[in-house]
Amino acid sequence: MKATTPKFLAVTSFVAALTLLAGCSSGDSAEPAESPDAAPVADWQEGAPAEWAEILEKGQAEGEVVLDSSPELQQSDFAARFEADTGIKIVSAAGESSARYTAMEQEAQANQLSIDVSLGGGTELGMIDQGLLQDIKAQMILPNVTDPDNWVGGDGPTWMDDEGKYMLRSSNYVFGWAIVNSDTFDAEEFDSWDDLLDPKYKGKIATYDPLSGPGQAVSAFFYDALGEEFVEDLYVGQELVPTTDRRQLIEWVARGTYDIALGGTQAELERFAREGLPVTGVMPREGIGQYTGGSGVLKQPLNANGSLTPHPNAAQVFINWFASTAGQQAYGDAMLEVTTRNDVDLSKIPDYVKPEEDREYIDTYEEHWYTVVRNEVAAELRTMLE
Amino acid sequence: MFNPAAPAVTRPPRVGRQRADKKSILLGVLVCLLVGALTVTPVIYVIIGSFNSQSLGQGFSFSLEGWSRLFASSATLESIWYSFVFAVRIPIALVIAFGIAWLLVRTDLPGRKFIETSLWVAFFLPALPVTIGWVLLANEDYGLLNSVVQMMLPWVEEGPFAINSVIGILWVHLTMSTIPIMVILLSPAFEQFDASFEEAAESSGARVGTTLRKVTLPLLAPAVFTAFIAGLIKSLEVFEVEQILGTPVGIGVYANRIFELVRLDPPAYMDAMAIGTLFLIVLLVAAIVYQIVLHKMQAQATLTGRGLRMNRKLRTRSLYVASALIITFISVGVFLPILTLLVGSFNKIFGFFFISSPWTTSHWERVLANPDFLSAAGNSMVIGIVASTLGTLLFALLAWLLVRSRMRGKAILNILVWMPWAIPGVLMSIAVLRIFLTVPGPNLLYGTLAPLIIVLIIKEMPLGTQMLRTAIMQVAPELEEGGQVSGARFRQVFFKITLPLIAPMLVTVFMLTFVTTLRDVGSVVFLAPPGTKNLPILMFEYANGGAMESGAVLGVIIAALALVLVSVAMRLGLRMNPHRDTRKARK
Repeated sequence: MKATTPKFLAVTSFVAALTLLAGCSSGDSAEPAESPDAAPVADWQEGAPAEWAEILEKGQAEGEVVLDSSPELQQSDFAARFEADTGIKIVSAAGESSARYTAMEQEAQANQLSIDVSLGGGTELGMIDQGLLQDIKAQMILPNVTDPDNWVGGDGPTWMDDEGKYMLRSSNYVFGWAIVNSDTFDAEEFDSWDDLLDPKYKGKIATYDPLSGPGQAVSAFFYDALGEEFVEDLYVGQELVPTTDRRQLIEWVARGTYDIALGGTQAELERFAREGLPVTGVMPREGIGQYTGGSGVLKQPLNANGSLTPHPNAAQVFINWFASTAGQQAYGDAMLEVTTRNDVDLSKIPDYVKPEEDREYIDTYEEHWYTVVRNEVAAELRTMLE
Repeated sequence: MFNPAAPAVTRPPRVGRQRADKKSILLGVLVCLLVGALTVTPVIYVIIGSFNSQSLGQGFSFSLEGWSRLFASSATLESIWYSFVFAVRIPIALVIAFGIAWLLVRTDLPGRKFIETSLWVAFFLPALPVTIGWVLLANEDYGLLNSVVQMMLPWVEEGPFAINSVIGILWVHLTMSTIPIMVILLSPAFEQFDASFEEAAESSGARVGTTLRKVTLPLLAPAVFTAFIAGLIKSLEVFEVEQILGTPVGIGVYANRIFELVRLDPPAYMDAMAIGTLFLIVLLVAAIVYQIVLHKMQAQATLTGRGLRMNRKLRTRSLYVASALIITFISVGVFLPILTLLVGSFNKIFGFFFISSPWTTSHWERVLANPDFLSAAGNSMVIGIVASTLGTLLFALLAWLLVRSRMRGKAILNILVWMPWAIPGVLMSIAVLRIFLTVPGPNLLYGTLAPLIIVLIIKEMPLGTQMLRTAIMQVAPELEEGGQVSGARFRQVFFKITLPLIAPMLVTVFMLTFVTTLRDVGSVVFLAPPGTKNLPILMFEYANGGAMESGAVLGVIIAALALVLVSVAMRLGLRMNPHRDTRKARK
């Protein structure tokens, strides 16, 4: 290969230099990606016990907390709002969710934890029996967090684990709704889930991979609630088209490539809807629904030898902030999930994820369902769909 | 038949045989142990994992379930079938790339520099946003190219392009990576090839085609064969394109299948490792065939003590036609997707041009203001430079040992060097994670960039070593022996004679390793410690988080970075190339 001309080199260097300069000027400011625009919330630290000041001070001295969370949350202003409220920086764990979970479990087994706290689904339930999760209930000390009246039902925080201390479930909302093109699909005529089996939709329904992620949440729910035959008729008989790209799923409906999509997430869907694209989520007028905890389950790993995560005080500050009104407002605004607190502004949350009073729901984030039913169904689904 | 009468690669003289034998055995054992520690340990971990029904890190319980599911699953068997179907692109690309490389090095092809640079840039481009760009261009329903065709030819009811198909996937592979990488691999071999061989044939009345067939191709056969085998194996583990384009139409390769199994909840590591082990067998067969064929080829040195003549053929009308064809191919295959990336980075929603006010600079502002971006760019540079420098030196040393040394166990070493390609990056990443977490010594490095750098060097070892091996085979041993006779030590001969003589290939291997560090997500996805993301991981997170527009911004930045790096590398390569004066003087 030969050299390029100096002119060409100069032009390309100029492009790179511009990029670098732009990056430098922006990077130094460390401004949040999106400016915080939350509604004002009550002082989340009000009435804090005396020990809180010391924990906060130590947390600030630690400087950062390593958070394992979804890419959507990392790209929002969530971290900036935490830093603004506490003076502690969030450092995000890298990689894809299943990779992060595997890495965290392996690190804990080898006493080399690098992650302080984790926000996501319920896969970590398997770490409880291994003694690899910390009791976070004991670390929740702010009155704003411990007061039962601040939580839906007035019984205090909701927990995913049966022991009620390892995995805080901060969200409870409706999932499994169908994504439709509002220009072509009449939601009023969507009477029941059986409508999805209408021959006119054969080859016209897309789904996230029914064996993983949000696609599995939908297929497992259908299997448990509506039976094996329904799932076979739907996924095999209707020739559902799979993808592992959540964005592509919604784009297909927006462009009219497919009439219906299953397994999309509301944060992505609303981004398209905000730009005026005719997509929305719909539930059938009748029929069972599912509750989920989404990506809002908080847990803290523990090394196998009992030693703590790298930033224990910053982690405790995060746990209290996240469970408080301020943290739940920031999380809900970013992820559009319905919080299990009762004092958070839900005006940004789309209606289709809010529970309806007269509908029956299966709670898919209840420990038995998540660890037993879901796994059994997953095995059956693999056999059927592969 | 024309006989180039070049000296065959000769074995070093056998003096003091017994002592030398002991030394060569010891050296062989030592080198094989060291290389084996790097390459075999992860492979053994994967093989054992394919028989272990316990979760990772929770002991061992023998089971054949993973293997029985492998053969019972139609999805897995189909993915294996498609892996071989898509491998058809390798011979196609090899033929095209051989022609392009010959034109670039042997002729005064109009637009040569532009073509060279463009092919490097194509290889730099990140697969994910480029593939999405192709969806936007050539989707059966809404592809822009189909719309243009239907607008220009109103009687055409359906657009001719369908990117979600076997042909579409092959096209994206060929344009984005397979042809560029083949040209990149073959060009240095041509540059170490004395033009007098071809000139002698032509002066004897042979036509260009005859010369190519009877002189050029046989002399370059080791390099061509290495590129073929390397391309074949490498093609089996690429999966991003199939993931986006193939999943909706039920097309996937075995690497997709492994990715799917690892992402299951709970992950099916045993099944994934069984598939990985199956392909280990395929790789072993390929490595053994490679060894036998290469041995039979009786490699001829194309760079001898007489020096190197690099006369380029003068421009003719057919060269202008060839140039026009290549530039058209590059414009469609490389610059169209780059343009799509650039446009998409300014779209409010990638690819949606018809919403109200579809344009924005907010994605650029967001990426450039993201502190993760600068740190990822810095990490990428550190990882890239360290991995490429150390890797290239290591590969050159291994290549020299394979070609020149009297070391025993070269055949074993050769297979060990191929090993890292036996398993896809994501399984390699898991295996290396376990090693760095649990093995005393390496575990002290966990949480640093060292595991990432090591895994990237391991992954590039097969290609780097084999290409440098063919480059060293092209150099006549007399050139190094001259140094030895003059009293130079090994270090001096290696650094002052061998490496400068193979400088073009060294620069190519350096750049290829660097590019890999900018593209490979799978191999590092389990290993990146918090706060040390690199650009590929950041892009992966953007794409996973639905922020394809930000991914496009990163794609454009990486393409710009590629231009700069390629330019610098070409300058450097030329400066290091000992034949440059000859080439200039004779032009």
